[in-house]
Amino acid sequence: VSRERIGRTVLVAASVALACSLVVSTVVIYLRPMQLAWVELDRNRVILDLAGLAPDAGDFSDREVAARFRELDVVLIDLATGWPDSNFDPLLYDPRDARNLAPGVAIPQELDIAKLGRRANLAPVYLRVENGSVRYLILPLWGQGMWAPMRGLLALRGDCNTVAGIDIYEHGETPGIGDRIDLAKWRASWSGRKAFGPDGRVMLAARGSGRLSAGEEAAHAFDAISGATVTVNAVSRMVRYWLGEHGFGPFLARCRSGEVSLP
Amino acid sequence: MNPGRRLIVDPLLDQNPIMLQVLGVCSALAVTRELQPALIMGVAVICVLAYTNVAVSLLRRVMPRSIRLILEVTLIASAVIVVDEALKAYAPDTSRILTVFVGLIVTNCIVLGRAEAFAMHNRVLPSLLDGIGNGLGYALVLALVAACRELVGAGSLLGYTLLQPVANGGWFQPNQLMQQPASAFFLIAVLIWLLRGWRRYLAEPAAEDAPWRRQEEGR
Repeated sequence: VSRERIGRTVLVAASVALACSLVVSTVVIYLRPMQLAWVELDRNRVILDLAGLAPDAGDFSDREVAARFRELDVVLIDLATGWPDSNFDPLLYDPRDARNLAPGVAIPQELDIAKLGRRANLAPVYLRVENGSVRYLILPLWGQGMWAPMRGLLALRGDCNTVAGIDIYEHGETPGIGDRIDLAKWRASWSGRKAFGPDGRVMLAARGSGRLSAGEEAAHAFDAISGATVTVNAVSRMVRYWLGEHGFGPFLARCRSGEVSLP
Repeated sequence: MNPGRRLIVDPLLDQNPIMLQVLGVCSALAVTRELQPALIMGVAVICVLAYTNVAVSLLRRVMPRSIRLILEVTLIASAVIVVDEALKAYAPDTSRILTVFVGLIVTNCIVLGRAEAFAMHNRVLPSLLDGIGNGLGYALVLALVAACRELVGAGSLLGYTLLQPVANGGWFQPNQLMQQPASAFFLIAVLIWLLRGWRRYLAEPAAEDAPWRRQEEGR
C-alpha cells in the first residue's frame, strides 16, 4: 500500500527520469564528435565531387576523401568587406556554431530570404587551385527548405561568375517531389549558367524547361521542377542570399574585378 | 534442460516472439531487404531487450503500479536513444539504411511485452537471459527473412554477389517482389507454417465453432 503513496510515486518518477536523462545526455555528448566527423567527411566528399576531383568510376573510400581534401585550399572570407580573413583557422571555423553566430550580425528582415535570422561574420570558401590559378570556388549555402533546414554547396568557375555545379546534400524535402533536387539531371541544369548580370546583380532564377536553352534569360536559368515549386523557390532564395550583397556578393565582386588575389 | 538455458533456447523456436506471438512484425518487414542491416537491427534489439529487462527487474519492487508503464517506456526509450546514437557514431552507413526503424524499437511490442510479462515478476539474472533469448529469437527470424530476400531479390549475401544477375551479364534473374516489403509478409507466413508443421504441438486447437469445422461436419 505504501508503494502507491503520491509523494513516493512522484519521487520514483523523478529519479527514473533524472537517471535516464543523465545516461542519454552523457552518451550523446560523448558520441557527438564522432558523428560530426562523419557528417564532415560526407560534406568533404561532396566538395571533392564539385571540385572535379571525384574518381571516374566508383566511390572514394573514406581515407581517400580525407587525403584528397587536403589538396584544396580553404579561405575564410569576411562577408561584409569581401576580403579574406586570416585571424581564424578556416578548417576549424564553423559559421553555424553559436559561438560564431553571436558576434555575427542579425540579417535585416527584407534581406533574409533564406530565413536564417543571423549569420556569422566569416564564411569559408573552398578553392581548387591549378598552376597558380583558381579553377573552382566552392561556396557553402544554408537556408530554410520546405520542411527542414537545407545545406548545400555551389561551385563557381575561376571567373567567379559561371556556375560549375550545385549539390544540396542535406535537406528534408518531400520524398518523390521536392527531393528531385538530388537528381543529376536537375543539378546539371545549373552548370554553365552565369550567376551575375553585367550590372553585378544576382540573376540566377528558376525557369520552365522551355526557357532553359533559348532567349536572353537562358544564360541565368536553371530548371524549375514542376510540382516542386516551393522547394525550388527555397533553393533559389538560398542561392540568391548567399551570392547577394549580404552574403558572398562583395567578395565575388572583388574576385570578378581581379581585386582580390587568391592563393 | 536447466531453467537458465530454457530462457535462452525457448524463444528461438517454441516461444519465438515473431513466429509464435506475432510481435515486432513492423520492423521485420521494413529492414529485411538486405542481410547486414537486418543483423545490426537484431543486435540493437538484443541490447535494448537485455538492458530494459535488467533495469525493469531491478526496479520491479520500487515502481508504483499506477505509473509502471510510463516508467518502463522511459527506460526503453533511453536505451533506444543510446543505441541509435551509437549506430550513428560507429556505423553511419547502416544507420542511414535503418533510418527511423532504430528509433521505432521503442514501439516494438516485444520489448514492452517482455518487460511487463517477465521482468516485472522475475529476478535480474533470469530477466537478462529472457531478454537476450527473445532478442535472439527476433534476430533469427530477421536474419532468415533477410537472407532469403537478399539472395533471391539481388543474388547476393552480405553484399557479396553469389548469383550473377542478368543485368551484369550473369544468368540469375532477380525476383523484384523480394525487393518489396510485402515479400517479408509472405516469408514470415511461410516460416510460421513450416514451424507449426514441424512442431505440431505449437498449433493451437481450432475453436469448437470454427466455420470450416461446421462445414466439415455437415452442421
